[in-house]
Amino acid sequence: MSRTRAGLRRLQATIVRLMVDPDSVVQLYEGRLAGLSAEDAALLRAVDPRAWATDTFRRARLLQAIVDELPVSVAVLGLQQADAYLSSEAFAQAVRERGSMVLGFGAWARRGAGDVATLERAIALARRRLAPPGPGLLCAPGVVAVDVARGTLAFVHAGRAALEAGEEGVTHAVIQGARLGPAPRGGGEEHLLVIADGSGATTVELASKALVGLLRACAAPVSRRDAERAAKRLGAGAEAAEIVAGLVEDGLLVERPG
Amino acid sequence: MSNFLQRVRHLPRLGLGLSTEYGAGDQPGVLDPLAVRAAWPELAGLLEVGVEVAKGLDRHALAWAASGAPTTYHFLDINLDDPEDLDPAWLDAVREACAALRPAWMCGDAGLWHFGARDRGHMLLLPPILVAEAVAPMAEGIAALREAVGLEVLPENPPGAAFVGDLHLLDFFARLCDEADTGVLLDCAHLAMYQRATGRSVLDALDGFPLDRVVEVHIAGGAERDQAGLTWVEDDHGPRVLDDVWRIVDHVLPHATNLRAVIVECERNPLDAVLPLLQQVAARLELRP
Repeated sequence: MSRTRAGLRRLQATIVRLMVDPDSVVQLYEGRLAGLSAEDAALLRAVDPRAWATDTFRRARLLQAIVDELPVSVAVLGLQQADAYLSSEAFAQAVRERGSMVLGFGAWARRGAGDVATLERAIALARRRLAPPGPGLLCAPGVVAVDVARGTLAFVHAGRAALEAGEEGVTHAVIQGARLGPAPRGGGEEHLLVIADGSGATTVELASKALVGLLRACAAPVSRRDAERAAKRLGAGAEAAEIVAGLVEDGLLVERPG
Repeated sequence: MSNFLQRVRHLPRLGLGLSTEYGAGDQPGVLDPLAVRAAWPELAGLLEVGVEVAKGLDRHALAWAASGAPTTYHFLDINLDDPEDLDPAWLDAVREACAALRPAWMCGDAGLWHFGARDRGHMLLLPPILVAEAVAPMAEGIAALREAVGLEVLPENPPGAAFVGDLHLLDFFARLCDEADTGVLLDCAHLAMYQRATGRSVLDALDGFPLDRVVEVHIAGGAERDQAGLTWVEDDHGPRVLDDVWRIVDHVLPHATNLRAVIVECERNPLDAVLPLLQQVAARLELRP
């Protein structure tokens, strides 16, 4: 059999899954693990099944890395529910497609933790200071804009403060089972601007719906003309070009040459 | 351009050395490589610095480099078979670290250092998939990194308890040496783990391995663990080197004609615990032809 590089990548991702998710090990040896060729399944089954579980703390370390960055979301969901992410297709997809485990969790957790997860994911995203590839106008590295349910920012601030009240810190409190909630839902929106500096420190502030809308339109590179159109849609009128130029001057947007 | 067996003649002979990684030297009571070098220069001829560029270099690595003593750069954050991992930002950070350390070469485990993208919490270390098709992507990564940093890049056989693939690990690395036109860092403790995990005899396949490609050897302690009745070896870098490892060391050292360095990996131990091990290895090196 000849494996392609993509096939090798998929096999590698399956190996990671086997190291993390005991259920997938059972499925492998029972012949129920989906997405594997017969040849790859045979290669994997040649390994002693106990060997996948020799690092007994691997899954706990991954969960801790998630708690470190999205503690309030995990406290809303509950630790056991959050742990289920590591057995989910969303996690498998993050591994397979060069994604981020933490950012993947933030998206996955919205169902249970609502916009608390949206906000904590935005903070984690800003901290990474990612810059999507391609020419055009886009949010500066470390700048992320989000719309969330009204009260989310206050809830996250209060939640973190409550978790910090313990002597051992936020992560420890969540891992010990601290719970928060329910997360704010409905009742209108608030518009937030998250900014992370080069040191990883982040600030979150309320912003106008129009500003957040415009920055969200520039989350991936767009032409200056498209950015100005977005500004007009959001009510800018004749001063759209000036507003876009101002955001570049303020460092919230950057322009990458083609 | 000359081939590896010509290029290796220009690599310096560094002798016996120690390893470190970010923060290891800050633990209370652990050995201080510079102090070892001052007292026993023959036991600390070089320092192998484990580098994760997101963390950078700690004060101990910088102090060693400032002393002018030799170093090697051990990467901890590159999946050599993934071209996307050789991104410009990572390469810039690697070059910056190299400027500080002035390493004689680069080396590191040729496996999966992280899953997904390089990101917080993604670090792990898994062996490569031991199939013929996995050799070429890895070889291309080695050649690309060598070209990008201007240093030899020596792949190391990683540790593990679960090895997937139908090639013997040594056959995989022999093919890798050939296809990437490179030498190799043979970790004797990791090899012993592989032989045990796959039910092979300790020296299995070493006879067919091109030991003239071995530029560097790692020796480290390990601890036997049990997982539901399966005995496996944890790569704990402690002072107790298992007998299997010594057997491999004693087979490899006399035949590794291009050997340039031997590292005892013991960075998180007190000096008195590892001094006898360092002296044992030094004695074996003196016996080399």
